[in-house]
Formats: sequence, structure tokens, C-alpha cells
Amino acid sequence: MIKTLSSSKFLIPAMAILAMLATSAGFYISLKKSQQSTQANPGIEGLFWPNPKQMNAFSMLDQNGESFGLTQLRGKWSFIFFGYTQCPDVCPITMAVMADVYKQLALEDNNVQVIFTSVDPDRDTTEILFSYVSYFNEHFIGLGGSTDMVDSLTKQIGIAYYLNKEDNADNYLVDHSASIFLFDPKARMVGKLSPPHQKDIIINQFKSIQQFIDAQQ
Amino acid sequence: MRNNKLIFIILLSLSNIAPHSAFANEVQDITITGAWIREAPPTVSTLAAYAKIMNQSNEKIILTSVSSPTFTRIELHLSKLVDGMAQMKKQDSLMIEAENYIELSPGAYHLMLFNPDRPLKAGDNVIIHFNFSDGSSSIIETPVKKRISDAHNHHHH
Repeated sequence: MIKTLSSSKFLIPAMAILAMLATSAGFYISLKKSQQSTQANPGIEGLFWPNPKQMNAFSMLDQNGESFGLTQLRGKWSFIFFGYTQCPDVCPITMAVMADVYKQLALEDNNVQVIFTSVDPDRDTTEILFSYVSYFNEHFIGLGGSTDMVDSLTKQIGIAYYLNKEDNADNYLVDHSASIFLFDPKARMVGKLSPPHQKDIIINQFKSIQQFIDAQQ
Repeated sequence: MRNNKLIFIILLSLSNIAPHSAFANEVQDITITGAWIREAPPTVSTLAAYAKIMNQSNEKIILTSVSSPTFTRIELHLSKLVDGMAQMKKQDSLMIEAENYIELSPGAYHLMLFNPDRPLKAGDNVIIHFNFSDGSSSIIETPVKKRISDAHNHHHH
């Protein structure tokens, strides 16, 4: 075979083409490899990668009545979750777990903020939000405002909520997302922590995600 | 030491009998343990309570209603996740199978307590009436606690 080929006029161009193919294949593989080492999702639970959501502007009010938006998300790691203050079971469980998480992360000098977002704008006024979040931790942030303000954040994150007012107009219940969303200091949504929420699991997931994101810079 | 032990046993047996004394059966059908109310921030008027309800009889018993002089209303609820959404569903009643138990616990079945007549703090005690389909009632003195870890006798599974 080689012998017959070697007599052929095509040998040199064929070898050249083969060499080019081999080189470009090698280059392609090494390129792929280098992309993998910096960009592939390493399988960290809850990590949004390679396409974390870059947040757009939103406008809410914090527990002191100050405006809270994209600027306040920048420069810190943020845990954001949703609920309402008259929620007796799931919300205080999450708040208490996050108080433990925050206490430990703050001790280790992590740059984090914990943000409770009310999806019950009619009942959860600024004053009520202040009382509610500071009961769990004086550094917690409580976000609220008008329905439009709440929607400016929930729609970007892609979560729904529902006020069950037809069942009971006074003591109505609110269906809300049970996940905790994690934002990096560039205000990108980089992760989602799913229930049931436990202190050690949240801390481990956070640290894995933080380490991965920091290594991408 | 011996005396302390004896007093403890007497107290224990008293606490077991007391809730049912009004409906004293020969054999105790229902036992409620580890009841507690979660302390809430001062502006919150909707609280949750938890307990373990054991049915020692050989017939199913239904928890038909719960009430308290401290609250305007108490409802039975189930917290559950539906497509990532936390929802609470009101339950009309709760069945406890024969020789079995049901646990009201955080994130699952719980009592929803509306409008306390005073601000409740950890350390306070509240009377709660559990009313059953066999006509019996258990009257439980329920402590207010900050956290599940404070809860006496509670084992999380």
C-alpha cells in the first residue's frame, strides 16, 4: 500500500494535508482542554455555570426604607430568598438556619449579606420588615416595596409567588419559592440552594461555589 | 438521690395522667409529647406549634380540632414543596392509625395559631386543647421556644 502510494504523485500533498489535519486536531484538543480547565461546570451542586445570570437593574426598598438595587448587590456575596413575615413554618425555619450560616461565615470573615425578600407587599411594610429581619440577625437585610418593585427582582430571578386571598382575605397564605439564590460580588446569580435547608450543607455549597467562581477571575 | 428519683417518677406519672383526667379511661388512648410553639418576631401574629401525637389504641383516631384560650383560631396545616414552591395546605383533620403516631414537625404537618392575646416569648406556656374523634380531649401546657434545639423530647428523623 505504502509502496504503491509512494510512487504516486499525490504522496507529498497527501502527507501535507494529513500533517495539517493532525496539527489542527491537536490544537483543537488542547484548546478544548484549556476551556475545560477554566469553564466547565465541575459538578458542584446548585452552581449555575457556565452561564450565570447577570442581573439587570431592579429597585426595591430595604428595612430602613432606603432604595436597594444592583449597586447594593455588588462587592459582596449575597444570599437572597423569598417569603412573608406572617409565614409561621417554612420562613422562620429558613431565617433561623441562615442566622446560623451567617454567624459562622461572618466569624470566618466572609464578605456576605443575607437578604430576605417579602413577596407580600400589602402586609409587609418597611417597619414590619425591620422588626422581622432584626429579630433573626441585626445585619440581615429585608426587602419589600410595591408589587412592581417586588416583581423587578422576582421576574429576573425567574420565580413566581401567589397570594391565596380567595381562601381567606385577612389571614391569607402566600406560596413562594423555597430556594435560596446565591449572587457573586459581580451581581451575577451563580447558584441556587434547594430545600430542605441545613446549616452545614449551605456553608459547604457556598464555599465550593465561591472557590470555583474566584478561580475563574 | 433516691428521693429525687421518686419525686421525678411521681411527677412523670402526674404529667401523663393530668391531660386526660377529665376523660379517664382505663387505658390511655392518646399521648402527646414534645409540644412546643415557635417564638415569633413581635410583629408576627401567625405562629406555628409542633408535637408528637401517639395513638395507643387498636383503632384509628382522628384529630378533629385544636383550640386555645390564647389564640382566636388554630388550624391544621401541611407545609409542602410543589415544583420548588413552598405551600401550606389547610387540613380538615388528621388521622392517626391504630398503635401509631403522627409527628407535627417543622416543614411538615403543624398547627397554625392565629392572633395571640398577648406577645409570646420563649419561656411562656400556653394551654392547647387537642380534640379527637373518640370524644376525648387532651389539654397540653405548651411551652414557647426559640428553636427546635430547645424543644424537649424532640427527635428529628
